[in-house]
Amino acid sequence: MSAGWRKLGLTLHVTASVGWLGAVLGFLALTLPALRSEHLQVVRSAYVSMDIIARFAILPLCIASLVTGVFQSLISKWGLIQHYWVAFKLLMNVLSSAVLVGHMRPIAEVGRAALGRNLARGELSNVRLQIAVDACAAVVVLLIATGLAIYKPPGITSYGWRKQLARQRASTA
Amino acid sequence: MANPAAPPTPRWVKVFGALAVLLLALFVALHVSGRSPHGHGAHASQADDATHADAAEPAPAKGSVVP
Repeated sequence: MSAGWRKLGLTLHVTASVGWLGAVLGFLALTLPALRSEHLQVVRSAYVSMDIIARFAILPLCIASLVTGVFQSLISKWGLIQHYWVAFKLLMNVLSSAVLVGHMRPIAEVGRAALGRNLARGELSNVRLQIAVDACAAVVVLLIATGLAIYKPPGITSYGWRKQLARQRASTA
Repeated sequence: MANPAAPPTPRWVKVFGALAVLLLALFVALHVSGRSPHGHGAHASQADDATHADAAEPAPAKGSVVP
């Protein structure tokens, strides 16, 4: 794969991943007025907006980050499970995507409820709290993933070690 | 010739691994025990029991808030 294609892959992956983090931060910003505002219209519009952000920004960017990340690791020198930092990022991405898909329903449910009527202060309180906790957890996970991608802490897996030895032998043969 | 030994696992990997296992176990335990704020099926009964503040217009029956 040429350097140009690798740079394009990296650009797409960074854009999707940072966009995912930005979308989750936007979602998180809406949870505060959604939980605390005294104005019912603000609460309603916040939950409707959160559902739209989740469906049309967070979910697509999450999938794009996963797909471009796998693609990028396979065409670069890092490999998918040859270095611990890449393996951890993959694990976090897969788990986050699974949790996100599993929790899309409550987000849509509250958004749908808010679309039709005002939500009372304590109504759906557990689900609304869960959505806020999920958003906080997602920001933490995505910040860790971003840190791993930037710092690239050293550490090679046993599979990566065997691949490295094989490459060295092939180059000296 | 014997393969040289693989380098030892870095400390940060062990710390991250332990934290990941701990958080995963906590997440699974909360969901299985139904003690998470949003246990499986919990939201449906909550929605049924909820107090409707201002039923200005009916909620869409299914799907997203957008077409």
